[in-house]
Amino acid sequence: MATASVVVRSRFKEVASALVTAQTRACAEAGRRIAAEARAHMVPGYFYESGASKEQTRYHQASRAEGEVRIGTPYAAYVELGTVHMAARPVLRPAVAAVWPELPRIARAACSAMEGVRLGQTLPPAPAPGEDAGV
Amino acid sequence: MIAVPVAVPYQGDPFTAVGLAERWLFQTLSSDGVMIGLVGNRIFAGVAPEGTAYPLVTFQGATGQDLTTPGYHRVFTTFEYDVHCADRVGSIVGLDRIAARIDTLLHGQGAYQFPSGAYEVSCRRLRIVPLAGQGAGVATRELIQSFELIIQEAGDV
Repeated sequence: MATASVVVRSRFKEVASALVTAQTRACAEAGRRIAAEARAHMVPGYFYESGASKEQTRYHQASRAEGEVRIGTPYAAYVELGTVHMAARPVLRPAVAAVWPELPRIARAACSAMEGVRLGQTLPPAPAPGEDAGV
Repeated sequence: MIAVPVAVPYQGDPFTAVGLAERWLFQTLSSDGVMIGLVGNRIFAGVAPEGTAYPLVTFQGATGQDLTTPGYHRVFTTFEYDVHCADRVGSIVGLDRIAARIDTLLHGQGAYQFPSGAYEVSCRRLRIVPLAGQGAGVATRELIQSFELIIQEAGDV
């Protein structure tokens, strides 16, 4: 006797896990792009001569779904926002504006890796929370 | 009768989106009686001249971005402007009152039409940031409110 069968198995766990990985990767990619863009805006002159701000502009993966681009110099907020007596020299907000239109593409690219789940592949790991990425 | 000082009219180009945005900001802030009572005529586009008395208000642009259709029709222009108010630490006027008045005047304003009738502006507050400062040896405090301004041709959808 020869029987035939179809195995039905839920892969929800793998898909959910891959989705979390995809969102972390998208978050990290967007953050790194914003950090790179901010550094590119720091042209020498007027607060950016020493290169300290450029050097201390980092993307930090705070959690799986959240990251932070931070300029570590103690005067960064004053330069970004200006004061009533000093013109602002913003770099973070123009960087966000520049990367903003690319977010859907970044998200799609991160999600495309989920196709691997369907094929039963193991996905490369996403950046771990707490990881500091300078580039 | 005491003469109330009136802010110097904003001189920016009225025919560009930047000029429209800044003129609207300036007129809205400087034509309000409560605001005049709080800061007098000390409202400036850009930075305040050296030696200006406190409290005072300034505004500066941070970003600007057009939204265009594939046919290059400009739908609207979005700006982010930082409106600063500053006062000496411990002043009796109260920086919070000035900031609250700025917020009342700007946040949620929509469909304001310029006298030319050609453009509309809408505005909302994005965030507020406090900063400690120092002006001519005086300890000051600033509240910086970032506003998103959208300038579009009147009647455009």
